[in-house]
Amino acid sequence: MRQLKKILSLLTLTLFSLFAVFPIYVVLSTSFRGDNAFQSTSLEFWTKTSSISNYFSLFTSTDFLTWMRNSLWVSAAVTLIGVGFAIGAGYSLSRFPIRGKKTGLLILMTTQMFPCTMLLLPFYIVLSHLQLINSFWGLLIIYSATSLPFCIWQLKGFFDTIPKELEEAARLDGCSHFQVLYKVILPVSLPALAITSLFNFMTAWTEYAIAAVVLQDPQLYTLSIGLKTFQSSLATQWGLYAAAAIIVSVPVVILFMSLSKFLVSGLTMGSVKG
Amino acid sequence: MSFVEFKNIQKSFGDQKILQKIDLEISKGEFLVLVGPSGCGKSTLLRILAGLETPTEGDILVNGKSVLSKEPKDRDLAMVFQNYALYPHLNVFENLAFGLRLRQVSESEIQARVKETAEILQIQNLLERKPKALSGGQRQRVALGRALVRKTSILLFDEPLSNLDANLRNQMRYEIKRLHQLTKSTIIYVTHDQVEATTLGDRIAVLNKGHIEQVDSAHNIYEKPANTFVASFIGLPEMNFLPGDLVGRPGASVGIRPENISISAEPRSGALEAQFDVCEYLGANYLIYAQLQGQAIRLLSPHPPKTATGGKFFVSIPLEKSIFFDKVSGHLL
Repeated sequence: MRQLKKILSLLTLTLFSLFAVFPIYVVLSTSFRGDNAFQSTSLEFWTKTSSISNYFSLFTSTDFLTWMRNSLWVSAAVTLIGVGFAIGAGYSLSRFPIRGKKTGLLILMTTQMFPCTMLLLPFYIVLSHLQLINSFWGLLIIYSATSLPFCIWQLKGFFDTIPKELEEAARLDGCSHFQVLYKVILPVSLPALAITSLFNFMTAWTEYAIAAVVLQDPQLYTLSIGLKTFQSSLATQWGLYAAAAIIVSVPVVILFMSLSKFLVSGLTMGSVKG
Repeated sequence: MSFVEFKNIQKSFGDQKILQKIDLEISKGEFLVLVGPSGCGKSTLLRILAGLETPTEGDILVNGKSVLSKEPKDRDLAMVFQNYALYPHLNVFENLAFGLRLRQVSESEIQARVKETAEILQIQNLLERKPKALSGGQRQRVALGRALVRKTSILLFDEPLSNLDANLRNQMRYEIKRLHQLTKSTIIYVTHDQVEATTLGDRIAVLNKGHIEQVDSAHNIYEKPANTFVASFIGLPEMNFLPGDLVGRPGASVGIRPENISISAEPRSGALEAQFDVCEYLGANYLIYAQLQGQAIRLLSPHPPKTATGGKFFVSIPLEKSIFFDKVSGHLL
C-alpha cells in the first residue's frame, strides 16, 4: 500500500512536471529551428534546420539589446524605488502609532483590487497632462505606484514579526532610529527584501499592457513590446520570438536563483527566545 | 548619597495606571531587585530608567542629574532582556562589539574588551557562532556579555533567567552574583521569582499594583514583612494567615511561616488539632496540606503525619515566630 502510494505520487509529480517543462522544451527547440515550424507536431529537439542563427539574428539584426537595456533600466529603477519607499512606509506603519493606520492600510489593499486594464485610461490621461507619455519616467511612476501597496503590506508584515526588543537593544547599544533601521532591521529583513525586490523586478520585466500604452518610440520599447514586433498579421518569426523568450527569462532565473538563499525563513531564529 | 533616584514616578497607558508615585533610591554599586507579580509595573519602571518608556509624571536622577531628556544610548546603562534580543545576523563577537563600534572605540580596544568579557563568561569558543547556533544558556551568556562589555555604570536585567530551565537558572544566578562582585556595577534586576530576588539582591523592592509595598534586605522582608501582601508573596510555601486577637487589639491576622509549624501525633501543650489533607514530598521536607479549625493551612515537616487523609494530628504554632497584621489594612502591627 505504501509502495503504491509512492508510485502514485511519483506519477502525479512527473505528469505535472511534464506540463511545466514541455512548453519550455518547445520554446527552446523552436529557438534553434530555422524552419519557423512552431506548430510542428514533431517532438524532435534538434532538426536538420536547427542552428544558433536565430540567436545571432536576434542580437545583430533587431533592436533586442536596446529593449533589453530599457527593460533592465526600468525594472531595476522600479525595484529600487518600490523597495525603498516600501521600507520607509512599512517600517513606519509597523512601529509607530500613526493616526488612521488601519484605514490607510485598508485603502492601500483596496487599490490592488482594480484590474490594470481598468486603470489604463486614467493613467494615460494623467501622464498626458504631465507630458510623460513616451517617457520612462511615466512608466516608472505607474509601475512603482501600482506595486507599492503590495510591497508595503509585505514588508510591514515582516517588520511586525521582528521582536521589538531587538530595536530596544540596539538603541541602548547606541543606535539612532535610522541606525536601528539600517544596522539591525534591514539585515534581519533580507528574506522579505529579497522577495519584494524579486516581485517588483519581475512585474516590471514582464509587464506589457501599460508599457504598450505609454511607450510609442521604438527606441524606448521594453522587451515585452519589442517581442511583439516579431509578430505580424501575415507571418510571425517564431524562431526569433522563441530565442528572445529564452534570453528574456535568463535574468529572472539568475535573479531567482541568487536570491533563493534568502527565501528560506528563519533568519531571525536565535535572536530571541521562541 | 543615592546614585539612582526615582522621584514620584507615575505612568499611565490611557486610563490604566501602571505606576503610582514611585519613590526609590539606589546606592552606587548596589544590587537592587524589583520583584512583584505579573503586571505590577516592575518592568515598566526599569524601561523608564532605560529610556524606552517615558513617565507620565516624575523624574529620575542618576548621580544627581535628571536623565529623562537623554536618549537611551546616552544614559550610561546596559540592559539584558528576557528573550536575549541578540542580533541574529551577527556572530557572537560582533554582537558583543556592536555597541563599542557605534561608540567608535578603537579596534584594538574592542578586541581586548570582547576577549576579556568572553573569558569572564566562558564563551571564548562561541565567538564565531551566530545566535541560532547557540543553546538557551549560551544565548543568555552572550546577552549578559553584550551588557557587560560596554562597562556602563548601571546594569539593568529584565527577567533574564525566566526562559531557562531550573538547573541553568541556578547556574546563571550564581554567575550574575559573581559578576556583580567582580564589576561592582549598580544593578537593577526585575524578576517575579522570589528565589532570584532573595538570593541576588542587596535590597529588594516588592511592587504590587503599581506601587512599592516594601524596600528592605531579603532577611528583613522575610522576617518583618510590611503587610500581608509582602508576607504572602515572599516565602515558599506561602505564609499561613489565621484569625486571632491581640491583647487590646481584637481582629488581627496571625501570620505563620509553614516551616515554623511543628507537628506531632499526640497532643502537646498548646498544640491544636488539625485534619490531614494531602502531602507532597519535596526532598528535605514534606509539604503538608491540612485543615485547622476549618481553615486550610500549609506546613513543612521533615516527616509526614502518621495518618491517612482526613485523619487527626496536632500542630504547634510558636508565638515568637508569629507575625501580626491588622486584619483590615493588612499592615504589620
